[in-house]
Amino acid sequence: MAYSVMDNKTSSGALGVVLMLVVFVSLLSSLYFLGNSAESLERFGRANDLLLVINGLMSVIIFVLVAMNAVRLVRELRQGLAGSRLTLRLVLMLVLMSLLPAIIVYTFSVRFLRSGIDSWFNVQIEQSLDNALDISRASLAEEQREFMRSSEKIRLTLRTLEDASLVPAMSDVLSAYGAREIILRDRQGLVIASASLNLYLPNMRVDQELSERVLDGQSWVSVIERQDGNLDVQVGLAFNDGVVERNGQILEVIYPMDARRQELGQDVQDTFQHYQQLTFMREPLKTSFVFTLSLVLALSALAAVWIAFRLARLLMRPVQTLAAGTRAVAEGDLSQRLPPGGKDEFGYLLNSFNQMVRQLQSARDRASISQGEVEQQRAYLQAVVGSISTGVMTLDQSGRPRTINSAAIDMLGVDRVDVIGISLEDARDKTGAYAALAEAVAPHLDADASVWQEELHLNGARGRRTFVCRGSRLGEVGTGHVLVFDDISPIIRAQRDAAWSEVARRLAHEIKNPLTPIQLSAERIRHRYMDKLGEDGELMDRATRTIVQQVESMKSMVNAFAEYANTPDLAFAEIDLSDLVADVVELYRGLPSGGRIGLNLADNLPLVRADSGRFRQLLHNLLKNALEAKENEEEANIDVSLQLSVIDNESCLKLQVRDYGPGFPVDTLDRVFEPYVTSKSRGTGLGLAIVKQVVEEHEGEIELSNPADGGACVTLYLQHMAS
Amino acid sequence: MRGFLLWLIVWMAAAPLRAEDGVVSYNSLVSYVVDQRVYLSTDVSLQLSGLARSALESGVALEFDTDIEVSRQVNFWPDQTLRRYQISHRLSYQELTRSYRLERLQTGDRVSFRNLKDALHSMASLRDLMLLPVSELKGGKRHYGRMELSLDIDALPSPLRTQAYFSRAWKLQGGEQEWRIR
Repeated sequence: MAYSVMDNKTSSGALGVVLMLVVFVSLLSSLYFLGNSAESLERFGRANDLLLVINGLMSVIIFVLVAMNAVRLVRELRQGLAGSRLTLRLVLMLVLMSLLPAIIVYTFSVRFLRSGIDSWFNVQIEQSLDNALDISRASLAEEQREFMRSSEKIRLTLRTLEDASLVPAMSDVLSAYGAREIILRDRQGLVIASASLNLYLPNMRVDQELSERVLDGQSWVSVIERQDGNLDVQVGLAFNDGVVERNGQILEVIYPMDARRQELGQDVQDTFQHYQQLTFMREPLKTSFVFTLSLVLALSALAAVWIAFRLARLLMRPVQTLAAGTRAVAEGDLSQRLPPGGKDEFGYLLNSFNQMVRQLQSARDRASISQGEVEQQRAYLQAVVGSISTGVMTLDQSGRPRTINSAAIDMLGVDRVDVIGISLEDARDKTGAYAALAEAVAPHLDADASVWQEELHLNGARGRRTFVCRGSRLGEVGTGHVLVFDDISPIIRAQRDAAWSEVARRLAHEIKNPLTPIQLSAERIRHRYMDKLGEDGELMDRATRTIVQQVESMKSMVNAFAEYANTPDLAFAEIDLSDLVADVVELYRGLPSGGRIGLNLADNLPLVRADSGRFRQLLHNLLKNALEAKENEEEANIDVSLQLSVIDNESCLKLQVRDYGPGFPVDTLDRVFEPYVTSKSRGTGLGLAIVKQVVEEHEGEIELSNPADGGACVTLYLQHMAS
Repeated sequence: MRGFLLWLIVWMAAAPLRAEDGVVSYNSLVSYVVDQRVYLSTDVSLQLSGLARSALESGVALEFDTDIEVSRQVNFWPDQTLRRYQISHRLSYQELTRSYRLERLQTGDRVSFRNLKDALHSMASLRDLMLLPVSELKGGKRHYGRMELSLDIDALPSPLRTQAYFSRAWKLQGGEQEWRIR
């Protein structure tokens, strides 16, 4: 873009240079003509019009150009364009620099012009010319007097002649006295007789003034100009003293003036009139000279202003280009390249700018690539952190969570928006696992240890769970913390399960074996000695019966443990869980202590791949637990439902058994699946442990909860066959 | 500089007030037909302004133009010019003989006058100037003539010319006259 602008500016610049040359030549020519024409009036007359037209025209053109430049500059100033103020300053400085000397030269030129013109005039010359003219006039008058005397002689010759003799006599005296023409006129001025050197007829009527003056008795002498420009002397005389016939007649004689005298007189007249003309035009001449000089000055001033504009713009062009480039770079456009400058400082500046932009662009490209790589790494790391089962949180230095991964959100049972940016201090005031975590973590953040680890027991909606939480400072002190925590509750539970299985297996093995000999021995003793003891036989009977009953009870308990410890061979088959649930529930509805059992089975549920025997045992345990949970009520109140549900975007069957008893003790909620953990006075505490075992055998999930409106709820999630 | 420019402007603006005007008076203006031709005779008095008279007596030759047009009036259209004449004179003062020389520029004829009044009268007045044949006049149409006597400023010496453009002293008042040709 910058290059095309430069091309346009180059063409307009060439036009400007041509115009500048024209103005310069015009100015020089004007001054040359003015200088030459000041020497003579004729030259000035010829040159003045040309000077006025040329300078006027150039002034108008330059004025328009200056006005355009001024308007453009004002517009640029209003727009706050880069370099406009500097352009204004440059223009003002250049104009001042050029106008000051021009005005000084103009002032002195005007003075010199006026004094120069004044020097043309001189009193002595004027007096001399006056004298010369007087001499010429005197010479002319002398000649006129001679002609008058000659004319008087002619009059005397003609006054007594008869009319018939007049013409020959007039011809004679014509040549004798050197006259050109002799005319005799009557009172009315009509020609009576004439003699002439040429063939033309005389004027038929005489000059009226001449006629009147002559008839009044005065003589008449006058100089007249011929068509060829030469002068004649006209003399008029009256016949008042001759024969009666001549009285009242007028003699008109015309003499050619002496050529030499006429030539000299004409020269004197021309010089005198030229001087008179100059004297008359003295002031207008000065005015015209000054006017022309003023016009030249105006043209010079306008040209100076215009050239100042051109120069200022020429000087400011690299600055404006640089400003435009800088603005583009500031706006992020690093593709901007300025046209290469010349070999001056501006050129160096432009080239340096281009080099700087190239380096910036290169650095930005490198940074962009690095940023891309970092982004990629970050995304990869985020994906890794997001996909791991370990909860990860990062906190800023004030303890506000900055990031949290999906596992942590799942473990803590919170929404991301409720965590990010909210300080742990604020979270401590709330309830749930996150609040408990915040409570446990907060002291470590203020401690000096850079790495810490703690096992936390958190109570949440999913019951009491055990977390192993590790924390460490990020980088240097003050940059934040990272928390990594794992929910180790399943591991602990699995360890406990394994331990209890081992205990059950040992119990079954170590206790069950001696029970049978004990029972058999007790029965043999009773059989052999009861009849022999008489009254003591009754005591024997009660004691042996108690031994046998307790052994049976112990056998039952041992069998139960054995059953818990055994891992039976499962016979998986595709079964309809709805039918199975309905069958088992129906069994309990028939019992005297069965109470109310609500059944809610969804229609058209998919089949489940399961061992029907183990599942039947699971349902028995759940229903027995629920029935035994009735507290002060006469009848149990149980709801059993089987629905289709979605967990982690996967469809599954949700089996829920709920009672309205006291619910699970909160303090043992995380341990109710362990053997011997029970809140009831009777029972082995193996019911839920076996339920959990069956669920795990079928790769399902189990949740225990105490609903807000009371009671306990056991929820199973089971995979189903594709429908 | 500013003082000079101010003086120049005031000097030019005041020029009309500094001198009396030149005046043209048309005493008579008659067109008549002789031998199927239309002729014009005029009796015109001309008085120069003081400035112009001074210039003349200082040796500046004055040139005068007498423009004559014969036109036919056209309805709803610019009038049609049938004939156009221009008679130019140069009037100069001869210091040696104290006479005024009148020269007709088209023919070169020269006449001398002892006084200015006669010279101006002779120059301004026309006698028997043939305008056009009668056949060129259309019946039912209005024909008219226009005569204008003016001082040719462009013929003045250059220093006076610039001033004359702005001054009434170099203009002739009432120099234009129309008459109807019947």
